[in-house]
Amino acid sequence: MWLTSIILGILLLGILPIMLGDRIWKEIYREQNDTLSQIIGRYLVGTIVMWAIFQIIAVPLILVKASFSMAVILWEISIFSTLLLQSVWKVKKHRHMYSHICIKTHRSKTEKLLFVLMCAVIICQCVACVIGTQYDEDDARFVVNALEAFDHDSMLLINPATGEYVGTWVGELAKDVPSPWTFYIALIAKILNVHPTIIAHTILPGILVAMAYGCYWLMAERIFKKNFSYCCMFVLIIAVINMHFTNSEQTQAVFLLTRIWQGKAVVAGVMLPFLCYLMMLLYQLKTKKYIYYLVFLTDIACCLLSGMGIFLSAIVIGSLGLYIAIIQKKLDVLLKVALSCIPTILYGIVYIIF
Amino acid sequence: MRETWKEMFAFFQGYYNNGLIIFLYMASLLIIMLLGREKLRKLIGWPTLVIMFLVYNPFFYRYIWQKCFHYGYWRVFWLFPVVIVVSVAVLIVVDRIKQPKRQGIFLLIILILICGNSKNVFSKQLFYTNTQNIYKLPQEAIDVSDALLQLDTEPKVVMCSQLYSYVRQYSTDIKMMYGRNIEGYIDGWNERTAEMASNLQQLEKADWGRVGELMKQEQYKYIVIPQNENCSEEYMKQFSFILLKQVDGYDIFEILY
Repeated sequence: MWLTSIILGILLLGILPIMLGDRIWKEIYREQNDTLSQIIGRYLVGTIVMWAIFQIIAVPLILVKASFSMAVILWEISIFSTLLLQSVWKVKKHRHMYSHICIKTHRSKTEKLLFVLMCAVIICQCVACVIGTQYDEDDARFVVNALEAFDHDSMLLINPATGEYVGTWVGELAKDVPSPWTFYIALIAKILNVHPTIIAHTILPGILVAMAYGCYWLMAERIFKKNFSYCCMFVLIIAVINMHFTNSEQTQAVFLLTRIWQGKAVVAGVMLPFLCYLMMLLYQLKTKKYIYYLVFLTDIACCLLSGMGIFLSAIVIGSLGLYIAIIQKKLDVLLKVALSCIPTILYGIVYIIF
Repeated sequence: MRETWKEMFAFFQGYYNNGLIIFLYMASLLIIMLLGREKLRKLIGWPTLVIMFLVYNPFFYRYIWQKCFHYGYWRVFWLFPVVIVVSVAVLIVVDRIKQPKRQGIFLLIILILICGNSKNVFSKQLFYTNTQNIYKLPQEAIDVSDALLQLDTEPKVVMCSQLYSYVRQYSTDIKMMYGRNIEGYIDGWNERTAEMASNLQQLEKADWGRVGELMKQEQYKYIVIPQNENCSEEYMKQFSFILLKQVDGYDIFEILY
C-alpha cells in the first residue's frame, strides 16, 4: 500500500506538473534553456495550472455545500482534459526555438563547485523541513479542515475546533471559502491515500521549499543573462539569508522554512517570488501573450492559497504592470495586466461578502 | 499624520526588529541604484522603490492597508524583495572585484555577516523541536487520541489546553467541547465553554462538581487533564469521575451519568 502511494505521489507531485506545464512553457520560452531551467519552469507552471484548476472548481462547490469527493472527481476530470487538450495544441515553431531539452555538460570547476554548494544548502533546507518538527497552532483550523474533508467528505461545514456539524461557515471559516488551500491538501491525501496531516507536515514542505528556490533560479537567469556562476551565487546567498532572516516570527523566510504547508506561507515564500519573475518576463520578453495567460493563472492560484494571496497578488501585478507600462510606454500592458487581476476581483468579492 | 507614522513604524520594528538585514537591504538598494547598470536599475531598483512607496506610505496605510489587513499590515512587508535586492547588490560588488580569490573572500565575509545576523531558523532554540512521529504532532496527543478511540468510536471529550490544538489533527472522530476557539480563534467561545475552560485553567482550584454538571448538560463523557496530585483517582470519585487510563502524563476520566 505504501508502495502504491509512493508511485502515485511521484506521478502526482513530480511528473504530472511537468507534463501540464510543458506547452505554456514552450510558448513563453522561445529561447534555448539548459535542462535545469526547462524542468523547473515546466514544474512551476504545471503546479500553478493544477492549483488554478482546483480553485476554479472548489469555490463554487463550497458555496453550494457540495461534497469534497465531487471536487476531487471534477478536478481529476479537468486535469485529464487539460492533458488531452495539450496533446492536440501544436506549439508554433519559432526559428530560435529548440523543442528538445538540451544538456550543457561543459562547466568549469568554479561553476561546478558553486552549483554543488547551492544544491547542498537547498537540499539541506528541504530535508530539514521534512524531518524537523515545528508545532503551529493555526493547524488546529487548517489541517483539521483538510482531515474533515478526507474523513467526512465535508467542506467547511464542521467546526474544526469541536467537530460539531454546523452546516455553514462559522467565524474564521468564512475566510477559507474563497481560499480553500486546505482542501487541495486533502485532495492530495485522498489520491495518495495518505493521512492529510502527514501530507501537510511531512511531504509538502520539501517540495514547496524546492519550488521557492526554483523561482529564484529562474529569476537569476533573467537578471544575470545565464551567467551560470552568478546564478548559483544568487540562489546560494538567498538560501543563506533565508536561514538567518529570523529577526521576528513574521518574516517571509520564517514562514517559508517553518510553516510552508500553510497557504499564506506559500504566498509569501513561493508565489510572490514567482510573480516577480513573471513581471520580469513581461518586462524583458517581446512576445507577451502567453505570459499574460500565465499571470492570470497565477492570480487564480494565489487566490486558492489565502486571503492575503487574493490581494497581494493584485498589488504586485498591478503596481509592476503600471511600472512596465510607463517605462516601455505601452498602455496596452496596463489593460492586459488589469484583466489578469479579474480573479482577485471575483474572489475578493466572495472574501468581503463572507 | 504623526500617529500614522508611529503605527507604521511599530509594525516595521516588529517585523525587522532592528536586525542587520534591514540595513543590508537599504545599503543594497543604494548600491543597485548608484553602482548597478541601467538595465539592472530598471529591472530591480526602480520596481523595488515603487513597491516600497506603495507599502510604506501613510496615505495608503490609513485608507487601504489598515482597512484591508487590520492587524495584519506587517504581511504587506512580504512584498519587499529583501533577499533579491541584497543578493543582487552583493553580486554587483563581486563583479567589480576582478580577482577570483578576492571575490571569494568578499562573498565569504558577506555570508558570515548574514549568518551572524541572527539565529539559524532550524536551531532548536527557535522554532524547531525533536520529531516524535510522522504526523509531526506531540506524541502525547497521538497516544491520548488512540486511548480515547479505544474507549469509543466517537468519544466526546473535554480536552486540556496542552492538547486541544493537536488531537483533532490526528483524528476527527474525537469531538471536543472546545478547542482553539476558546482563545478567540475560529468561531469564538460561549459562556458554557468559557466557564469550563476557566475551571480547568488551575486544576487545584477547579469546581469539579460544576465541571461534571456542564459535561452532563452537553453530554460529554470524557475529560483529559494533566496528571495532578490534587486530582487523584480517590478525590475525583467524589464528583463521579472514574479514572480510566493514564497516558504520557495525562489522566483520562469518565463522568458517570
